[in-house]
Amino acid sequence: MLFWVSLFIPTFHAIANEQVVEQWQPEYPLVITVPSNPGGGWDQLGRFLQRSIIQEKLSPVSIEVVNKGGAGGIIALAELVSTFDGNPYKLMVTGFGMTGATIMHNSEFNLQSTTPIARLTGEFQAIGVPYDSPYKNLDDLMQAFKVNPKSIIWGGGSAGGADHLFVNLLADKLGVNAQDINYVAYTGGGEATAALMGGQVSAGISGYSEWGGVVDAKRVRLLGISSESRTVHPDIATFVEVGIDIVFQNWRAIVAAPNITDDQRQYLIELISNARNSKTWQDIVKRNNWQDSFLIGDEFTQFIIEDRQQTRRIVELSGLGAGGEGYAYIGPYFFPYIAGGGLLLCSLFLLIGHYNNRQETNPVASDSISIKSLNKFYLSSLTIALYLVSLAYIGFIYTTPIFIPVISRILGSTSSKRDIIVGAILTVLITIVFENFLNVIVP
Amino acid sequence: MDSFTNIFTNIANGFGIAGTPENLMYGMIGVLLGTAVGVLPGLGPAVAISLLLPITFGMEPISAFIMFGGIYYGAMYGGAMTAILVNTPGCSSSVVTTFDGHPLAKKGRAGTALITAIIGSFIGGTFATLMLMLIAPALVELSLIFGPPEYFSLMLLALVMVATIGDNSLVKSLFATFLGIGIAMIGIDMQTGTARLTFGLPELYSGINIVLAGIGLFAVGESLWVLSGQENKDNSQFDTSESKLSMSSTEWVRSGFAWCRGTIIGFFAGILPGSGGTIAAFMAYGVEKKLSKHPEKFGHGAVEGVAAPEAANNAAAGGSMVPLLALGIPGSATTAVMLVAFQMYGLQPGPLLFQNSGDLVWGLIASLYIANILLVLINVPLIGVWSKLLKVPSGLLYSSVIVFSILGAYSLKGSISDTIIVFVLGLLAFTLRRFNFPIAPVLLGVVLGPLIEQEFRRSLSISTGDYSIFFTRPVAVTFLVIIALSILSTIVKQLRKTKT
Repeated sequence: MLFWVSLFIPTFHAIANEQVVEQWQPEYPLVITVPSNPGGGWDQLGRFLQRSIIQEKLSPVSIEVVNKGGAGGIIALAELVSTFDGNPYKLMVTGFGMTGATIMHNSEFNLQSTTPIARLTGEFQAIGVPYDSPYKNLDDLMQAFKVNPKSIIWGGGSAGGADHLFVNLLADKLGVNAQDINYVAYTGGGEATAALMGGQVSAGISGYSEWGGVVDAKRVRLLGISSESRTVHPDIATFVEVGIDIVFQNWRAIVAAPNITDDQRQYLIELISNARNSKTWQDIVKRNNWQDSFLIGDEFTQFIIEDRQQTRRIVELSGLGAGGEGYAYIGPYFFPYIAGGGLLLCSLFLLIGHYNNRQETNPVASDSISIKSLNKFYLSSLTIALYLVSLAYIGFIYTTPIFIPVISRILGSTSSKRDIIVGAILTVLITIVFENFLNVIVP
Repeated sequence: MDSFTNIFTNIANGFGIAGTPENLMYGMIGVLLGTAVGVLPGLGPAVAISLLLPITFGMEPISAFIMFGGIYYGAMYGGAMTAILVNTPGCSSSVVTTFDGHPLAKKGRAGTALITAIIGSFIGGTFATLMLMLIAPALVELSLIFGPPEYFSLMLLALVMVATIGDNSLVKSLFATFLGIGIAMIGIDMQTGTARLTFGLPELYSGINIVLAGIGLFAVGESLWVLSGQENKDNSQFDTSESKLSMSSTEWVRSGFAWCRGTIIGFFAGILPGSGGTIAAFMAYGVEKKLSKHPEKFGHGAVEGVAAPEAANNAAAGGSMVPLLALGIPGSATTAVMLVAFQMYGLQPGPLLFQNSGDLVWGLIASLYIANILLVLINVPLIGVWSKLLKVPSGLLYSSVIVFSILGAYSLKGSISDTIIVFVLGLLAFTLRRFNFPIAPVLLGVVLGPLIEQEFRRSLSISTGDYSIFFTRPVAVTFLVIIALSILSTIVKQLRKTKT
């Protein structure tokens, strides 16, 4: 199914596209892996890039986007570096957050293990305070933070992310000890903004484009932005202006698998460059309030190396590197201990109850399960386990038509022929629906 | 009075904008699509909308939003359908619906359960939209009072209120709750970035979220339960004849009250960022059971047990639109994706949106009403069709449930490891059921545990380690007092029970 679709589209596009013949041309669809779940900044970058390439007919083959989230992107990174080594059809969205995650979790791989293609966008960090906050300008806030760091409660994204690391960078430049930073992590920019407006935290830190409406509505005052000069907004001071030497961008980029040939790398760089220069892309960048921080080739490679060095330093300062537990009033293991303690206590009660009951009467036998049904349970569990294993190694399309009749049989179905036919039809239907309509590539 | 006539002309205007045949068609597509993703475990409205984003790029904003509204409401209802019919909730917010919805279906009253769910969804969604139209800005100000200590005490209250939901022993319920909290602690800690209880496996770094837990504990767990022949799944016992679709007049009355209470609870839970449909449904169910004259009927097919949570989760969906439109603050995954959609059209939700793009806002509000009406119009005639699902031979039905569950888990991140997590959770659920432990509190622990933890730690971070923050803020204190009273009353009741 996959091959049929992919071979059809290339021929169509190849005719429509009169490009100078490159030394290397892709023959199969290119896959952009988004290393996060749908709906975040990386996801947007991947999907809008896909859109630009398709809209402007830049690629002779189709472009697919798949999400592979988890662990700040290092799961997708590991896949790209190990499984797809030398595969020119695999691209991945990446960015500052991934650099941070690889350092924080001591990942075996980092961005230097990949083939850098192009840095596409960047977002400046901006600091906001409630509109009626006593801090009316950046200098006031920075002085207060410097003199009495604990008096400023920062609200932003999760620990180790761009927001958190930026506050640590700020503290470092001001000579504030990382342990004195009072940072409250929220799931997303939205929750942090609500906390800021409600006066729960004293200053908020977020990407500039995420602030939006609350600033126009005079609920939040933006005091500082991490750009070099006042290019983004004339009224917002830069850190450089108040004598803090910080220019920072939360950058997002595209990388390819390691060990691809120079031809292939050149082709991909050209493809992404064309997409970036297209009107569709420029339009998208504007609409999303992103910065166009385009950088390709060796300069981008160099940037990745430098960025990693700088980030490593901040991560270590923040106490997060190499399995550190960071600085929080209540440590990360407080609640797991409560849960564990609760479980132990309950088990104790249950044991005592069980013991008392046994002395009085026989255990309630009616609830217990017959041996026959337990055997059935083991059998079906084993079937499902086998199914999962073969899913990983053989694939969905081949294993499911077998799986469905087998399970059906366990449940006492007598008509094997019907089950096999239904299983086959269902498999085909599911594959078509998931791959073509839901954009999920079945294993 | 003047402002009300204003609202009236505005909304009439909005209906004019949203009610074109083309938009109605998009709304219909949205409802159908939403119902479909709601039925499929793992896929929720957030994923569906984000997949549609690139496609809607060229559409009129209002057409896109009417479709998104349809998806959001449709998904909430779609999840309930499978919850009632096959005891496998399609979304985590429909888990509560299984408690009484499935027993009703077993009694041959699947139609009744579906009707009360649909009407509940409609009332919940419509009321939330009405409130959004009338008093959105004022409500948002109110919700901003809620800081970490208030959230902490509210979530703790929800946990205490609902932990005793089942008929099982209190200790067993508590055990299951703690187990859920423990499961939720797996993964990277938000406040410090530390990887907890992951045994060095990067696959566990992102933790076991509500979606995975819902699929594993309920869909896979239920399938295993049926597969081992624990329940006589002779489907002929499900009588789905049309005559049983209707409800008796007492049931209408009972549902009526439940819809209203569920709607109000759900709406307020929806306004608070970070709370949401699942918590709303649990709380609504807990309140219904507390208020009912026949609490013993819950869990055995009480219509209130379906009506209240279904009204609540749709009202929560509507409620979460309030902070989104009024302040530009997304309170849930779905509204976060919708915010992206707004920005894609160059619109910035917030107080100024009402002034700058009034036509669009009123069109959007009108489109939410329309999406709600479409939900009923499309799904009521389909009740009979869906009830036929029960006529599918159980072997095929449950093997498909397993296949869909596994694919749903896989689709979240495209990783086989998630399918293994789901399977292990299914085994866990089976084992718990075998020894007569309730499953629902496990999920409740997974949902509320991380919220309680994060808010507790945030509170102490804000107060720089001073515990008095919980006792100096009036809202937080009120909740804590209610918690104390409710625990006390439970203890007294237990003591009386043992004496007699």
